[in-house]
Amino acid sequence: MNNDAKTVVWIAGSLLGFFGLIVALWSGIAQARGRNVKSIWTRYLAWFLIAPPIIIPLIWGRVPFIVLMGLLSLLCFREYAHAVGLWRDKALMWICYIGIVCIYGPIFGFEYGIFQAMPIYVIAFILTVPMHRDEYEHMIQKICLAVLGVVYFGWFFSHLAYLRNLSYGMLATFLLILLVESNDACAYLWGTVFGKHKLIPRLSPNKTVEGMFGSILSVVGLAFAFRFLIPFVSAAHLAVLALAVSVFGMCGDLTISFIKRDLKIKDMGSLIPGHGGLLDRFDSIIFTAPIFFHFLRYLYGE
Amino acid sequence: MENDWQFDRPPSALELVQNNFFSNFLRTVLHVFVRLSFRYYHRFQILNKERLAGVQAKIIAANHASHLDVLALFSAFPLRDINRVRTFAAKDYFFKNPFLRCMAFFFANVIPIDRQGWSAESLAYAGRSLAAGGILIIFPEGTRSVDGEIHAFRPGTGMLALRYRVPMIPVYIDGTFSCQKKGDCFPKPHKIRVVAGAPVDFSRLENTRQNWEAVSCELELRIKNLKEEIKHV
Repeated sequence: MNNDAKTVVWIAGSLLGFFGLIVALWSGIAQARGRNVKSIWTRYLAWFLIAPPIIIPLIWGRVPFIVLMGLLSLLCFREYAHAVGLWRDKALMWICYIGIVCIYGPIFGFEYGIFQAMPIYVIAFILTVPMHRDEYEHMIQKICLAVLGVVYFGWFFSHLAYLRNLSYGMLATFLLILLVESNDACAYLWGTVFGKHKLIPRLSPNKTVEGMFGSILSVVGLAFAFRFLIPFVSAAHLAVLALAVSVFGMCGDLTISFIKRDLKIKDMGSLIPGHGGLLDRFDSIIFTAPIFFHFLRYLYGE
Repeated sequence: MENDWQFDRPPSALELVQNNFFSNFLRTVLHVFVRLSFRYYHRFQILNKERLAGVQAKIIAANHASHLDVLALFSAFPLRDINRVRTFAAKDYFFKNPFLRCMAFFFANVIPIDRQGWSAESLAYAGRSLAAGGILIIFPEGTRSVDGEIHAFRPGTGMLALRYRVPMIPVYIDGTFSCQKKGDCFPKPHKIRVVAGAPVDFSRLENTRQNWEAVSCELELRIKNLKEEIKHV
């Protein structure tokens, strides 16, 4: 294990412990204020299940991490397809799976140009499905759902895998995961304790203005606390980056939220105890990964 | 613009447990190992094995004290018949998360049912399996016994017997409670015995609710008798 890997493991371990203390403190305060704190411990303990499968490939190397992200992409897409009803069209499902694998292909060979162009060809192939079936009924719906799934759960997500390819990739990826997940946790914690004003009551009734500002502050604070992970980034850039992670993380959350609202379901699945499905956990990271990646790659190179 | 997109529902529990070549093959392979562990770890013994043989459809009613019960019953049938055997399983327990669902599907070949009431699609599915010569396992107590005793049988078993008119075989499973009771993590090496009772034919009875309860009581009595019979064997 080299020094970077040791850093990652130490930070992950101490953060889990630190959040344990915060959760204990917060649940005490929230209980005193008469809020329901039952689910928070299940959510916290589930992190001990989620963390090792992500941390181990991350420090193991580039290829295992890309493979893991590819698998997560496929599982997320599957969960989404089960929810929207795309799963009944088995052939289209296979085409989408193959499309997602094709999007992940160029990442293994550092092919940035092809990686960015690949979605065009995958979408083009999905668009030919009505032609070789000679069918047109309900095809707009199916194709739209398939394209949304492939682009959002395949292409957006794959930026997290490409981030690992950069020379500072391991620590940057770890910082992104850390910021996004603590953004979720902070919004939840600030919201449950101080939440009064609803942010968007119809789309997501549990989001509060206090939670949002609290999480933005916490994430900027955390980004500066863990600045040594990406020491070459200037302070102004880091602040913008943290703000973007916080705001777009919430957008990602709300994206899955509106999909669920429209379908009138509560959770996307039941894979992770206390969190629901994979998509309920990785929703914000999907939205944030491309922004974080392009920001760093454009300003600081590979 | 009016939104007239129709979203299909997510797959139901029944649609998640459709067999294919892969699942049948995997189940056969898994049950080879289950049999080995039963044979050498649990000193597995089947009494009156000939009552379970045969190609016709039948329903097995057994007492339920442990997760090992269903594996014991599967091991009582020849390996080539393994994919004929189906188990009724509570949707609220075995479909809670993907892990339990996969275990239930690959080991026990489950037909998901509601504990509160039988859904039409589960019944239709069970009927199709029986018509294809299936062997259905049901635990009429509806849940695992917490003290190892046999508790009151629920009328659903009688309903199945009178609806499908197939022979019912009462089976007593001995020893699984001592191996792995509710809440135990790893099975202990205790002896397991499966005792098959004589097949009972209820096809003369009329399909009414009183008769469902009578049939369930009759099966309960027969299983309790089996328990008494082998007590000193």
